Amino acid sequence: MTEQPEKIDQVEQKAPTLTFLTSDNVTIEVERDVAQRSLLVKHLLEDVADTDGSIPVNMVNEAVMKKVIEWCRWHKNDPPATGDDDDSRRKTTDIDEWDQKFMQVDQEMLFEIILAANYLDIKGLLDVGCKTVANMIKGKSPEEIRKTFNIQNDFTPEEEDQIRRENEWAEDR
Amino acid sequence: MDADARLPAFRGQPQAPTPTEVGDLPEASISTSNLPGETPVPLLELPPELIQQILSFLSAQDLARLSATCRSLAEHATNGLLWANIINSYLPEPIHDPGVFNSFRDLYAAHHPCWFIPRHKIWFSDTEHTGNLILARYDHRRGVIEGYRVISERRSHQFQIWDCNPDVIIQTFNPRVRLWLDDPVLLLKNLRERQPWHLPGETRMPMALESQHVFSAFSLCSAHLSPNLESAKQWPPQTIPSNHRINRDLDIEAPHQERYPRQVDDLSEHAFRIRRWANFRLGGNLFGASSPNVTLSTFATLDPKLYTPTRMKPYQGIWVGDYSAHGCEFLLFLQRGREDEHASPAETSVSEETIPQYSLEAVKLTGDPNVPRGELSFVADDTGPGGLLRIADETLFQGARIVRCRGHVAGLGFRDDTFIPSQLILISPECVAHYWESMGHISYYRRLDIDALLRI
Repeated sequence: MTEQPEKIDQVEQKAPTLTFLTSDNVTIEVERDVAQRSLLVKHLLEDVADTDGSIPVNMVNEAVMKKVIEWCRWHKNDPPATGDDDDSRRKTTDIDEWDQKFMQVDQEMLFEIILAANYLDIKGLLDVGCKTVANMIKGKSPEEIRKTFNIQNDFTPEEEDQIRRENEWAEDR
Repeated sequence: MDADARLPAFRGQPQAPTPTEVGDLPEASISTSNLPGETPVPLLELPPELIQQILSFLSAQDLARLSATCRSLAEHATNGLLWANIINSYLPEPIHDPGVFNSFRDLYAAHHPCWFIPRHKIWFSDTEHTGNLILARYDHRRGVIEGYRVISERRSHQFQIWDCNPDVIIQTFNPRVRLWLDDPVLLLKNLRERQPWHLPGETRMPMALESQHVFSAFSLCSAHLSPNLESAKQWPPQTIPSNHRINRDLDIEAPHQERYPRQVDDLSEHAFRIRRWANFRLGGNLFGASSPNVTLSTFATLDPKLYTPTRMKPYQGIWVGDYSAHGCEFLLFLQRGREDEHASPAETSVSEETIPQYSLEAVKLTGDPNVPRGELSFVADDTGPGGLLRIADETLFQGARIVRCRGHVAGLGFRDDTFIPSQLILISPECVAHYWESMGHISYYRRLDIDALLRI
């Protein structure tokens, strides 16, 4: 930041902002430090000196973008992701309370958020999204999983029989 | 932002060229046109790498159930990387190929749900008096999970003279410690090939010793512990901190659900049992119940926090000690500080932390008929300044801190056990000596390198 804020109490005083242009042609203004939770945006800002124009996000519509920004705003002071985390460790699917509430959306929105987080390169949000879906699978029977995600059973009886034999080890008794 | 210092160049990110190109991908899934039988499945429309990322949070059993839903997810769930990561989460050294198995998934299934055994490495049993310390590993060349007894020979020794008191008997101690590879205690082969895996029951382990009519069977333990079970019937013993004690006292009448886990959720990942029996009659009942030739051992493991040395707890670890006539015995040295007892972290002030008062408790992992396994061998209540007797200036222990200690002694069968005054000579984090004052005897203890022993 090159400019120091002069009067802190002034109503007009705002953090530096930038604008996104969503796929449905809506402009959304957002604080820079919030927007930079997206590594895509962060790298873009590092590379382009002039950011007066709006940043087009033509993969993401307004409703989804607003959710994404809500998440970024809440998490704007999180420590940055440590790069490649140790994949060999067993992963936990614990999600903190705020994120759990945040993810209480319909499935359509949930998957849109995951796609947007992936596109905008927001690792924390992508993780929470993937964990949320994983938690919808955990502990469920195949039939329950199909119901949850509206999946059609497209196995032939022979295939189904083979799959069942392959997975016998996982049955409890 | 020092954007001015950089070239205004794009980095090849999939950045949209113009704002007018609206909605390519997401629109497709948003239009929920209710075509009969063609309702969208947003999960399956995700790019494969995102599906993989979701699946990476699932357990092996969840992956197995998921693969029974439809063809597409069945394919996603067979990805070898997913299974390799699950397996490697259990192994101290990651493996990079499925070895003798066709796939990582087959390898995982072959040893499900026993992967916790190589993960915890160190296992010790409740065998009467002596106990038994074994180290477990996954042998990738053979595709088996195996566990071997740790044994130690004292080898030749010399007598040392202590200037402070020439009457005290001191013998050097340079033991040879190794795994007893000739007679594995635990051997889990591909369980799938042998028979369907049943949690509530035993699995015979085909050991070489069967040619001598000695048989072994392995079983899993239920994590269920009735709250009023007396502590002597629990394993590991109370001398060792643990959140995973189980019932070691399994008489034949014990309810089935306390003997064996009924489902994976009941399974204790911190214990297992091994039954060994001799059968000399031909055609006898192999699983014959109570007979004097049967021993049932319950094995428990240690939280790595207890045996990993730290800057403040440099003596923590697995040690081998010289118990003269009883031979070598293995011990857990664990150190506890004040802050460990008052669990609340806010309580300890900074000034207290600068004067550490760490105890050193030597718990026997293997024992003898006098002081058996699971009992304390000695305790130095404060290895800090509070317990310091002196700093040795005699040549034998030059510079070592000597702290006040209590040695645990008992008659045969652990009768009339009592603590007698002793001194602990802290030579280095690799070697200590214990002076049993009234017995006129100093014995040495040396740290074991568990990982070196486990190396194949």
